[in-house]
Amino acid sequence: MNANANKVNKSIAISLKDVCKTYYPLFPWQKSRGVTALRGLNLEVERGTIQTLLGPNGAGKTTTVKIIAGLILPTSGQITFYGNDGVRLRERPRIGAVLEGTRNIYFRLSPLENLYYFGELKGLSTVEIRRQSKELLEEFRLADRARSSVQTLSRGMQQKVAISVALLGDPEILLLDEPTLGLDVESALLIRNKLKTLVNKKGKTIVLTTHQMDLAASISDSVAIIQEGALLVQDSTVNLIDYFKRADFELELSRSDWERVVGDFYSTRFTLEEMSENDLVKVTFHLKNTQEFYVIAYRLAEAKIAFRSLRQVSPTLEEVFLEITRLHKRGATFIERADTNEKENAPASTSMPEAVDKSALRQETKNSTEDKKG
Amino acid sequence: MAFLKLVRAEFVRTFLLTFRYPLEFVSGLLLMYLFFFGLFIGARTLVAGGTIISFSLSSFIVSYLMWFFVISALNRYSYSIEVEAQQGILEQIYLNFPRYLFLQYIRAIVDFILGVVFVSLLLTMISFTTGHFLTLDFEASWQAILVVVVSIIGINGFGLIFGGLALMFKRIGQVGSLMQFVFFLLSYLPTEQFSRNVQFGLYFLPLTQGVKLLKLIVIQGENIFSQTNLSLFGGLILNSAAYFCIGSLFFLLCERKAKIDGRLSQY
Repeated sequence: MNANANKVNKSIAISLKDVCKTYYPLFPWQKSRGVTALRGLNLEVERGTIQTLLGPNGAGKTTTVKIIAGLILPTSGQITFYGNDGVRLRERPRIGAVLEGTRNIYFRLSPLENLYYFGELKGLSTVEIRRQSKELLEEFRLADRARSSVQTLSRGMQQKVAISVALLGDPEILLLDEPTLGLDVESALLIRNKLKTLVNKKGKTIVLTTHQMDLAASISDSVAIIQEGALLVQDSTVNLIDYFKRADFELELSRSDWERVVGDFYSTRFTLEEMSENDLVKVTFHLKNTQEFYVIAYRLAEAKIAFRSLRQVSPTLEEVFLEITRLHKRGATFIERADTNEKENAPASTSMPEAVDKSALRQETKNSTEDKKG
Repeated sequence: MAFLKLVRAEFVRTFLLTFRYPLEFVSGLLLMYLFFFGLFIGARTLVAGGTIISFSLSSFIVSYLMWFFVISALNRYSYSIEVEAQQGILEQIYLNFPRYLFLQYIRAIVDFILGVVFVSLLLTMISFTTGHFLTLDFEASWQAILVVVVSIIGINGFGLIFGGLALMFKRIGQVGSLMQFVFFLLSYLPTEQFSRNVQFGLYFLPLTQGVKLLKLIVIQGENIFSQTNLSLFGGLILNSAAYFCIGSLFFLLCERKAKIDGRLSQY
């Protein structure tokens, strides 16, 4: 065996290689009615990061998380934790999870009783359970309701209890399915901050699924977009947004100045927005590339126009997500890129924005003519 | 040590879940008590002249209490799996304690201990109402408990089969209810009245040998370790061990199938 093959990258906490999952009906004669949830999924999650899985309903996010948790066995493929086989029980790291929203705990028991019970299941000593329970209840501001039955708590509190139970025993990996769904702003913020602290201060690895793009954008170190059981892209939020950054520039200037130069821009696409204060207008230029803006800037300078603000408009993560899934539906495939120079050799694409240095992606269109028509 | 910790954890959990709503526990007890009298009065009307002799009443009580343990052992796996899958706790348990079958064994022990408390209360209520007290000396008592435990281990095998089915199908409550009546019939079978060939066949059925031995101890004051009863007790042990092993194996197969099909949380 190749010596390099034995080298294990310990900075990768979770690795899924060519993981396929098909759910078959119970009876063998119904095998043809199987539903494929994952089609050769490849995913690597770095240690000490928050990895968010995004995807439309039925994309395979929950199946992925449950395979990582060991609750579902893959049909084929390999899963490893820190380079060790992920199927063998003894080699699995400690994993905490909240997979069913608030439903992962005993509603008839109190938060403290839940923590004690699951602590015992995890094999913690009574002293350790007591210490950790106290800490967790205080951190999640549940101490004063520690002895109330969980069913009498608000949804936000129930979610906090479920996360506390998952955190008990100091798991190395935390899996969360929609952790802030349906929570009030304060509770969502508390959980968001807690997750950040867990990663930044304690080096935990968190994998979460969500449909809340603001949550994904605010806490994720890396975002993986899954659709139809396959990974479309996996990169940092910043890179993804950068990659899809349009050549849109937003200017704020006085109405009189704008009226002076507007005639020069009739051949340029722009949108105009009236502003309520001081007779200002906001002009957004929709350009083909960033170089075009130099021409605009030159014209404005020539006319001695002073603008109040200027910024390049960045897409939101939601817009990036929608763009990627839209491109995928139109036949585009996304290949992870090892070297940014490859970009120069990448096949031409009409639907992707111009190349950005930080990009770690390359797109190949299966059918560029179809794309052009689109 | 770890085993005892788990027993304690399960005991506390079961105790809290049972007694958090005491009315539920009391109504369960009353239901079993009233059901006994429903059966008792029904049986009385079937006896010629409406009289029921002490021997029959003792037999009736023993069979009834045995049946209680049977239905507990039979339904506890499937019921707990159904409820916990519905509540989403099943996955959390699997995540924290992957050797779920072992946990179910511990739960069975805890349930049996709590069942003994329940049966003691029920027996007290029945005895005071009928004015008929089962008298047992120390030796007979522990032999009776031994027979009950060995019989219940076999029934747990059946319970595990239903538990395995519950993992895959989730809603199997009706099958469990149906089987309760099959076992009810088995616990009341007048085994001593059958021919030798039929009695040999009964060795292979669950429960019948246990009920027969229990009646011999409680009603006729016999010793299970006497020469005549030892083969019967040996047969009971083999019978229970076989059903328990088959049940455990079936449960493990269903568990694997449920993990492959992603059915642990489906309801």
